[in-house]
Formats: sequence, C-alpha cells, structure tokens
Amino acid sequence: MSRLLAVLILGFALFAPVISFALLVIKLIFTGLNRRFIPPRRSVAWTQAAVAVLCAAATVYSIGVWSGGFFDIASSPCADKLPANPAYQQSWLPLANACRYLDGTTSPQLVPSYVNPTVFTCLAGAAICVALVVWSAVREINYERASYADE
Amino acid sequence: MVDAKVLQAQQWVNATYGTVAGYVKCPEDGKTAWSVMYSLTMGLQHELGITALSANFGPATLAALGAGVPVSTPNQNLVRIIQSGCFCKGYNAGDIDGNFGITTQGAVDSMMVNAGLTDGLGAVLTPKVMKALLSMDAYVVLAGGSDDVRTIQQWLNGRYINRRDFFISPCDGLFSRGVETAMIYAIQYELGMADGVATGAFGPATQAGLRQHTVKNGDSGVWVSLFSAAMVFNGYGSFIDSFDSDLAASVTNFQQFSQLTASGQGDFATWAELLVSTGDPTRPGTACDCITTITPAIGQTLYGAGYRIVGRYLDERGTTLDKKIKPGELETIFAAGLNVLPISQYYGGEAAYFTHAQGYTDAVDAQTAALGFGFNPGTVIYFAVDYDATQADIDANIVPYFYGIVAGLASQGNRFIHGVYGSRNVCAQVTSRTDARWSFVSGMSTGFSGNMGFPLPDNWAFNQIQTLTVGSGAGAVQIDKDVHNSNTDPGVSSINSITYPADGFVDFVSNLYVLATTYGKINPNLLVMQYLRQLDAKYIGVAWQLLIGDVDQDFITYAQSNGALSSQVTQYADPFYGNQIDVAHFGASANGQYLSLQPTGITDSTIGDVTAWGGDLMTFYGEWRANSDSYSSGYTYCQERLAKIDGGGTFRLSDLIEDADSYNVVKSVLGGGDVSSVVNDYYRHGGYSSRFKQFFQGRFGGTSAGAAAAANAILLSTDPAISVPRLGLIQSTGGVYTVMPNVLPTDKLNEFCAGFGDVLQARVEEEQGT
Repeated sequence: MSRLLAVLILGFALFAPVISFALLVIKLIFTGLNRRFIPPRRSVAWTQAAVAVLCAAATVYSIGVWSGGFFDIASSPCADKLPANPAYQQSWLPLANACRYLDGTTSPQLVPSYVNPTVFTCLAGAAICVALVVWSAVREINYERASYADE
Repeated sequence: MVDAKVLQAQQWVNATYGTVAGYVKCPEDGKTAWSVMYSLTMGLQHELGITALSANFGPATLAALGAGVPVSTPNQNLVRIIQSGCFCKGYNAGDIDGNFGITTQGAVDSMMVNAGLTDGLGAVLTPKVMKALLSMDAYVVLAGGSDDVRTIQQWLNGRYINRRDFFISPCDGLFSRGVETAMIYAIQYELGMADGVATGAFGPATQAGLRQHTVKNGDSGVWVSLFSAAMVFNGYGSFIDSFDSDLAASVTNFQQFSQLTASGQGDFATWAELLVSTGDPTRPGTACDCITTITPAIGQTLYGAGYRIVGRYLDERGTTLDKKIKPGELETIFAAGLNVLPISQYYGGEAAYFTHAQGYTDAVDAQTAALGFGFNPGTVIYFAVDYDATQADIDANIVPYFYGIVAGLASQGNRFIHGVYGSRNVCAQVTSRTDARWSFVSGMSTGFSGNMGFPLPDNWAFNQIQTLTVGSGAGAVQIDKDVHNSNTDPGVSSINSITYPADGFVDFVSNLYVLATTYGKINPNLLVMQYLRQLDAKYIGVAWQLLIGDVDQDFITYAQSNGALSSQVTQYADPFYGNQIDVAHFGASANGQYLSLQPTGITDSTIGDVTAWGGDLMTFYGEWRANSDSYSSGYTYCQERLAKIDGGGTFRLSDLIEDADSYNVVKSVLGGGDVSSVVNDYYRHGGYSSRFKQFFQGRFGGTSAGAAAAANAILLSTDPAISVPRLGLIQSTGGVYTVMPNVLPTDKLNEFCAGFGDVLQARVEEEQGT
C-alpha cells in the first residue's frame, strides 16, 4: 500500500468530520444572522446541497475508516489467530478491511455494512446536485441575458 | 502533612484527659491515626463514667452510650469528642467548642450519608454512629477502591444497620475482611436468622441456606443483589438486582477463573467460591501435597483418585517430619503418571523467621537441593509462608524475605524461579512486589486474616482446600487436596534435561536467520525482526506501516515455505520470571528500534522509543487517566499497576521485559553482532539476568530521574512522528476525551513520570538482588 495514500487517508479521516461539522455550523450561523430569509438562487441552493451530501459522504467514510480498524495502533481486530501473509484484505474504495489467517480462513468484514452504500448514495447525490448546479446556472444566465435584451 | 484541626483535637483530648487514670496520650502531630481515635475513645469512656479505660470501643462502651448522644446534650466534652472525631475523619465540624450546632450536625450528617445511612442524623447520634466516628474507617473511595464496591458497602449499611450485630462498614471502595463478614451477615439475615444466631461465619446453616438460593438469568430481588455484590467483591460484574446476560457472562468468567463448572449460574459452588477461600471444599482437586514419601503404591492410589500433580518438599532443616523428597522418589512419581510440585519450607510458622538474610539462605539451600534432584532450569519452586501473616508482617517480614529469595536465586545464576505459598494476601502481595511467578494459596485456612476479604490472586496455580486420607493399606496417604488452575504451572514432568526455558525461541530465531541469509536480498537481521513482528497482525497494520514501514512480504512467504512454520513460536517462558513473553511485541519493538535513529540523549525521543517502552508508557498513561477517579496520583498508579507480573493493564512486566530485551538485543546487533548469535548469548548465557540494568543504564543513564525525564520528553514531544501515534495510543486506553499530557498540570505529569522512573529502578534493584 502506498505510504503517501495512507497518510492522505489518515489526514482525511482525522479532519473530514471536523471540517464538515465546521461548515454546518458556519451555514447555520449565517442563516441565523439573516433577519429576513431570502431563498438563494437555484444554482447556489444546489451547490449547497452538493457540499452537504459530500460532507455526509466524508463523515460516513471517516466513520468507516475508524470503526474498520484501519489505523488501530494499540490493538488488532485480527488477534484471535496467526495472520496470513498478507494479513489483511483491504481496499480504500469501496472501503473494506478483513483479516486473513494462516489457517486459510478470513474474518467477517470489519467495515460496518452501512458505510459503503451510504457513501455511494451520497456521492451519487452529489453528482446529481452538480449536474443541477450546471443546469440551473445555464438557465439563470440565459434568463439574465433575456432580461438585458428586454431592457 | 500536619492538619491544624487534627492537631487541635489531639491537644484538646490530651489536655482534657491526660491526668485521668488509664488514659493513653496520643502523639500531637496533626496526623490522623488509630492513636488519636483510641485517645478519643478513652475520653468518651471517661465521660460515660467508665473507669477501666480501654482503647477498644467494645460492648461496655456501646452499652454505656444507651440510646446515644442527643443533639441537645448538655455535656460539652461529649460534643468536643464528636467534633474531634469529625475532624480526624475529614469532616468540618466548625470548631472544637462543645456546641452541637448546625456545622457539627452537618459534619456528622455528611459522614452518615457517605456511609449509606441516607436518613442522616436525627435528634440522637446513635452508638453505632459514634463507634464509626471513632474508627479509622473511611466512607469515601480510597486509592485503589472502586465506586461499585463503595455502592455495595453503602447498600449493606443502609439495609442492615438496624440489626443488632451489624455495625457500620467502611465505604472506601475496598474489599476487606470486615466487608466480607458484613456480606455473610447480610446473607444470614436474608435467610431469616435471628440476631444472635447470625454470626457472620460461613457455617453449616448458612451453607444449607445458600444451597436453596441458586440465582440465574431472569431472576431478580435481594438474592441477585447479594450475589452480584459478592461477584463485584471478587472483581467481576457490577452490582445489580436483576440477573441479566451480562451477569451470566461475568459468572462464567469467574467460574472459569476459579476452575468451577462454567454454568453461568449462581449455584452453591459459586456462592462458596465467592465467599470463602476454600470454596466448596468437597469439590474434586487434581493436585495434592503431602509430607509422605511417594511409593509406587501411593502413586497408584493418587493417580486412581484423579490426582495428577503432587507437591513434595525439596529440603528440610531441624525437623523430625522427614518430609524431604527421597532419592529415586521423583522417578517413582513420574512412573505413576504424576508431575511434581517442588515446595521449599524450612520453617515458616512465625513472623520472626522471615528476614532478608533468611530468604537468601533458604533460596541458596533450595537451589542446591533442586539441582541435586536434577530439576530443570526454569522450574518454579514454591517458598512457603505457613502462618496467618498480617499486613504489617507482610510489609516488615514476608516481602523482605522474598527479596532475599530473589537475591539468593540471582546469586546462583537464576536457574530457578520463585513461586509463593501462603494466604491470598501473602500471595498477592509477594507477587505484586517480588514478581513471584505462581501462587499456591493456603485456602484451607478460611479464618486467616490474609484469606478473608481478598479475592484469589490472579496468578493462582494451586488452591489448597481440604485435608483427607485416600487409599488403603500400603497405598493409604494423608494429603492436602489442591485445586489446580489448568492454565498455569503444569508441575514438573521430567528432570535432568539440559534445556532452557527460551530454547524454542532461540532456535526459532536461529532458523529464521539462516533463512534470511539464504534469501539474501536485504539485511538478514532486519528480516528476522520483521518476521517476528508479523506474528501479530497488529504490528503490520496501516498504523505500524506508517510508523516503521511494511515487512518484506516476499521473505515471509519464502520463510514460511522453507520450514519457518515448523519451528515457529509466538510465546516463550522468560528464564528469569517464568512469565510468557510475546514474540511479536519483541519483534515489533526490535524492528522499530533497529530502523529508527538512535537517541542522541536521554530526552531525545525517537520512533524506536514509540515502538517500545514509549508506546507502552503512552497506553499506560491513557489507562491511568481512565482510572483517575480512583488514582489521583500518577505516582501511586505506577507503583501499583506498572510492570506487574499479573493482573490486567497495558504495561505489564512482560511488556517491560519485551521492551528491555529488544533494546538490549538491538544495541548488540547495531554493535556488529548478528541477531541469531546475540539472542543465543542473551538467553542461554545469562544476558537476560541483567536485562533491566542494561536497559536502564543504556537508555536512561542509570538513574530514575533520567527515566522520568525521558518519559516526560516523549509524552510532551511535539514531533508529529511521536505526537500522532501518541494520540492514538493514549486514546486507545483512555478514550477519546482523555486529558492529554500537554494539558495536564505539570506537577501531576511529573509525578506520573517519577513513578515510571522509580518503578524501573526498583526492577533493576530487584533483578540484582539489592
């Protein structure tokens, strides 16, 4: 496994939930500061929705990384039996981690079962949101051009 | 530390009663001790009109108190005694002014609530409360105590205080003789025994009653409360009144630990095991000990009766018992299908016998005898303490005696390992303080103060529960029946073989080194360490890869397909202490230290340190913080939990051995040796016998202050290579919200680090027999 990739994922798993939470708080603060609620333009709304589902995907992915035992340093979920070579069956996307034992058996999946479906659903949602951002933006630009032409 | 209020109480009681006949003055030093409680008790007796003063708060004092001391009492000296008692117990009673005002009432009230008497102080301070006030019993959790135990103590006090013979138990969170007695009283009361019939002793009526009260999953009520309380006192489960699956699982664990049938139910055998040191003495045992020579006929009797291990005496001195092993007897024992348990008991019936010098002499003589019989290196010899040693005896005599034994065995090259025979407390204390390998518990002596109020020691191997005669005719023999813990010392099954405890490990490393050399791609020393490391998947996970890189998987495959698996060992018995050493931890620590830059000074923290002692210290730090409610002082926590041979914990003696051995071995390898030769020299030619000294001097400069400074440095290092794994290691034992070392008050962290340094130094001194 690439050392650089592992470092990047460690950093991601450490900071993604924090950043997501910070973005949520910032959004709530700004919404609260607006005395009069003005609905955002559609393209902005879809952008915010895309960021929200990406944050959700990142948070669930981080949960998968930590609960899947990828970075356990003081204990091992595979301590029951002697490990095979290699000792783990790992993948970063989809997230997967299982122990391989010397006796030829493999442990159950360590990553919680809800993680990958949730992450992929959120990623698909984000892709749809991005498409809608583009579609809305094009419509808004065309609308503004038409308005200029009327004037 | 001088407490001004305690000092005031001492001065007042001495000044007031100093001239009364029979009164004994207490030292005026501002420290709470039994002496001041005794003086206050005698002052109380004088106020009550008792002329024959005694330090004992006995029946006469209780009777003289009648219904108790009314809050409105006009006797100001009585109130001053109460106020003094409050101060000595740490409750603020205002001033010692004889006024039973709101502050004094509040102090007494607080103590009563702490003791579980939730109604608090009414119009009268009862005799039982007065007795509690003038005792050294604590009603807050003391160091080493637990909230669970305290809750039970409070519950017992609250529920049974109105029974005639039930007095207020301490609520300090510690299981003790008094608490065990209170527990049996509670059982007797629930069985319907009247005052006077209930005695607090585990007699036939109590046993018969308990046979009718098996508790199991789904049950609820007071019997479940009592049973779960007894479980908690023995270190299992939590205090509940409904028997759930968690309690059933805890019961199963306790039964397995105690070698009972693992039913998960609170049957009579389990009740008995929880309440008295014999447990049910009629249960079968697979070991025994005796002073009789084992003849072929006796051997046949014992085997036929289900015994597989027999304890015999190595030597004797000045006795006519003729209990020593006879020439050829060991062969007879082996031929009968039995193993031997070697015991050393020259004399052990009184405290005065046990001195450091005597321990040294006994160890040397026992070793000479054991060598004469041909016992193999690494055999555990049980040194006996055959009387009811009190805690004071243990501190003053027994532990020094065992230090003498350690020194005596060390002087002869540490060929044998010491075990301990004695009460539960003797075994636990000797194990904790001198690292006895296994405990042989004299459980048959149920009334021993060292057996009451103490759970079975974690390292118990044998528990002596009954004297009986088995067989008939030439095969008849009187024995002490012992329950054997099958996960521990199997006894000796052969003699005169020139093997060393770590032989398997040394041969394994040698084979690996040959394979690594043949493989030929990279440094064979490194390959051997990597192979050892990968024996536990933990050390080749992503975190460890980030820390010290991956292992050479091609070499692992090569070695496994060329015979490495056939000689593979994952644990071996340490030749010094006899405990099991984890090969993978040794390999990971060695691998880390071999690859890491070597420290340039004592306080220079490296990744190698993190993989070895530093990482263990970090998890231990997290463990301390998780237990900080019971252990405010990090120093005390280190003294009680660090580098112990038995019990749980994240930094046990075996971990420290692995850290020290890996450091010493790597140092020699870096000095030019090959790992195979270095390991061979280290484990077969005595290198291990000074392992802590080498480690202590090499890494910490040979002083506890140096070790403390190094600990401080690694716990505060801002180098991300240290601080990131430190975060994970500390949180793994302390939890996500652990207070990190950099935000802990400096003096508290320094205290913890000083504890680490002093424990290391103590290990060095123990190893050298000083």
